[in-house]
Amino acid sequence: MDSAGGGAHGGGGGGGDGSSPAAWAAVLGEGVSLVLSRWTALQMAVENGWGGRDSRRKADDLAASILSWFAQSKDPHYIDELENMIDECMVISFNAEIEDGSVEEVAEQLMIMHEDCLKGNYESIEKLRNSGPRINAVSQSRRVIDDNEDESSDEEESEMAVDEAPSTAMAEDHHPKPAKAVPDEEGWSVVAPRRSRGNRSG
Amino acid sequence: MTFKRRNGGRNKHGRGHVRFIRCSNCGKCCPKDKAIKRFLVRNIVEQAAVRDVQEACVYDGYTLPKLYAKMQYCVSCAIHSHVVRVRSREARRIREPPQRFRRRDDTARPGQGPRPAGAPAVRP
Repeated sequence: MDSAGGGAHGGGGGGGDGSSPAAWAAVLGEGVSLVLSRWTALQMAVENGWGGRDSRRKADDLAASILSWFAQSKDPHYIDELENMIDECMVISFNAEIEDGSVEEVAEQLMIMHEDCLKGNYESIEKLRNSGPRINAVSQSRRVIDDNEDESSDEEESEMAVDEAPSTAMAEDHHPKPAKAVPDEEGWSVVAPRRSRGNRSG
Repeated sequence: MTFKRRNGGRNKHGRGHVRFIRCSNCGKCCPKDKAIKRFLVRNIVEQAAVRDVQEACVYDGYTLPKLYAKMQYCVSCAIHSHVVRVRSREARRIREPPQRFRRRDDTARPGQGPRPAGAPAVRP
């Protein structure tokens, strides 16, 4: 976060747009970093190293490229372009496909922040700055995969138990069976197994 | 015979052997460094069903949880499910995300020099 802030400040100061003061670019850079620091998907990617050893640097790169997109390219800024840029960056840098709609939300928030900064309204960034770090959603994530694996192995064991029960019951039934069974009410009668039937291996 | 890719398919440098993993789609064995890894971030409830679930929810303002999964695909499954695409010979060499007008960052970064467009930085 510090390096992202430093990079953004350096970018804002060194550019010298000429058309607008560089101050809003610096504040916008800080705002971009704040928004990204609250984006769970990106924070999870950085903390779990989805992009390899330099995941944090890649996150800072993303912040810097967003800022330079806002500052460099001419109006109008389209939110679709920003969404595509963030999407591509997540796939290429972090191998992550974000399909939960958070990219759209982050892009919307960044666009609103950019418009506010152009008007000189820094309220939203102040609010973010003062709200402090939120509950870390990354630490709240639980590994559910282990539970599912345990459940499935339990099911397999119970199936095995069910399979064994009738076979043991059948083994017991062999002994009291040599007598001829009485015909059923519908005329069905059980054919008694001959003694050699169980010993023959098919 | 020409080499199609400089790294020969996937990321094994300085090793003779890497263990294999199973593709999450088809179960095929694929070397761990060659497999195409994707981290999926998805809502547990699909977009279409979110409203139904929220209406049926007992709690007010319950934020639906998300699912984070790591998918490892073999090359065949990755191409078949459009995770990766076939690229032209020049496009195959592109590894970094597209550079966006980086004129400003020439002096801002202490750790790296200015990057020419398209050339990937050497990873330590």
